[in-house]
Amino acid sequence: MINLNTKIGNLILDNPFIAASGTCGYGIEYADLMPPEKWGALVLKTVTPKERVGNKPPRCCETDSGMLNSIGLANCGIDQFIEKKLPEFAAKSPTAKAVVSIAGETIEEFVFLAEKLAKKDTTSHGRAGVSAIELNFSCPNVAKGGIHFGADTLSAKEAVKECRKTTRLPLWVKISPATPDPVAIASICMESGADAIVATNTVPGMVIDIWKEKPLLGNIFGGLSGPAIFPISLRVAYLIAKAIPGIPLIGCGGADNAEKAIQFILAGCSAVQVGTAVFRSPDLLYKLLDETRLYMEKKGCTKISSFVGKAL
Amino acid sequence: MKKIETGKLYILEDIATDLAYLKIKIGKNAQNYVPGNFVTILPPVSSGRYLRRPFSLAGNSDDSIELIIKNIGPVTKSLVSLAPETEVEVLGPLGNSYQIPENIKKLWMIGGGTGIASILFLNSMRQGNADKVLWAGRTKDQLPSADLFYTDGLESRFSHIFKKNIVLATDDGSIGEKGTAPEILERWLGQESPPDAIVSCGPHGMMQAIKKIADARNIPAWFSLEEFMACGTGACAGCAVPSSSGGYLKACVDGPVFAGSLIKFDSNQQPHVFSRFLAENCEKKH
Repeated sequence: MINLNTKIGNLILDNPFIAASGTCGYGIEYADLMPPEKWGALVLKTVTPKERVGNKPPRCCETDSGMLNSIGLANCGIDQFIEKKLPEFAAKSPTAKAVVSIAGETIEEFVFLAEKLAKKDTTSHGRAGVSAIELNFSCPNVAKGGIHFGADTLSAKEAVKECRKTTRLPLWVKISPATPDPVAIASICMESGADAIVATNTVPGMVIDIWKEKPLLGNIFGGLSGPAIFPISLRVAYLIAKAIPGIPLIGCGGADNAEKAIQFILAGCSAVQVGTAVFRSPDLLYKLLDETRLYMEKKGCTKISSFVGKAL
Repeated sequence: MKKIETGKLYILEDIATDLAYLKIKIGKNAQNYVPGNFVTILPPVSSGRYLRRPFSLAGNSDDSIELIIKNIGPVTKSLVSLAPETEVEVLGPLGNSYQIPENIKKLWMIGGGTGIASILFLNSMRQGNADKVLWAGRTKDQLPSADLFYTDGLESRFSHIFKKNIVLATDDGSIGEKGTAPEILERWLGQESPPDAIVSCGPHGMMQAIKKIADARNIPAWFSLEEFMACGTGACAGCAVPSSSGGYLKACVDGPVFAGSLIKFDSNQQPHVFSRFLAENCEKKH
């Protein structure tokens, strides 16, 4: 009997597929097309202390085998998120697992957000419906915070350490593929109390409109996602898993079918986040689950953990 | 409720050099579409593109949706080269709809190029005897020829969407009246009493000029906007439209139809066209 359950630190998910932050909104936008509870978990759109309107348009465009975006962390702010968005999600899908992605410009802001989410509500761990917090140390599209956190081991260490003090919720850290030393960042985050590393986020990039003779995106630079970045993300995940044996790791970046997702698992990830591919196929999860079962059947394995890291 | 459906492409016809009419049989969900709604279509493999593309509906029937697309980019070009009966994956209905108050008896509807699609749908659902549609294009490539439209029977073969109150116009006068859409709107306003409201869909520059004319005369106006979008469902916030009260609205869920008072036009914002102009115009030389 094939079992798709997977374990990330102490958190158990029904299957290893997680909707990536920024691509599944506040969890309800795609609910008509894919019931949220079918996902192992959903990482909701990054929330910041105050509302952010986001970057100047155009904010996205397609590139070969992927897309560039510079949304700029447009979001409703933590208060509105807790009062409105989280209850809406919980009402729509009471059994779905929400991971809340947070981003601050300073360590204090990260702590402020983690504290808000940790406030005891109906569970002893944190707010109802929140299964984990993902620290977004890797957004390429904001002037302060974001990717700069992921590039500076000292800030990363302090931010994780301080957030850890506020909550017992699992803390995931999403790192950038552009960080010079991903292993160093991953290792310092884990030592500071993180529960898992998400490798990785979008790859910084740009496009120029040759007829208008200027950058296409309003923000000039954006983050590249989609199948184009898959080998880059996979390498980062592999490097981390190889250097830090047994690290709870989540692959993210360019997986748009089970064959790519399985590569992340073989590289040491116990779960895989999927984003841009869902824009293309909102019902992709059904295929991922079927194809993964087929792979496991062919390989004669019954549980995900039996092939995590097998290619290392 | 929005659904992902596979539908057979069963009518595909060029109606102008740059425009094609498509009918896709998706089943009875087609009846749930209203004017203003759009679909996103999964790009055919031959296009080499990845993300779904949004298209406004030009009409519907019991089991089919109808689109008018500009065959200019890789996705639209590959769509129009599909064989009849090819299956295409459609996601919809998406977006809001035209909500024209009942007291609007005289509505002028102005479509620029392929922007005519949702306007044809709206016009076909109204029984407004005082309504008028302006279909404007830059040159004859962007509009059906008068022969095709009136004599050869577009108007009769597709009479459910091509109504008799449609006036064609081109910037250079190569088809229909001569003048840009805003120029013709000004002309009409000089000739008769103003309409109760205006709706428009087309290039940003055109809609911006129409908004200016409507605002100056206090004529209520609605605009249907096209932006590049990744999700079409409100999840990604990629299709931001500047709001008149600051911040941004989402073209996919707050729109695509917006009251003119709610939005600001920014001419820089016109979506990028993924043309392969250089490749397509050089390849014959070698």
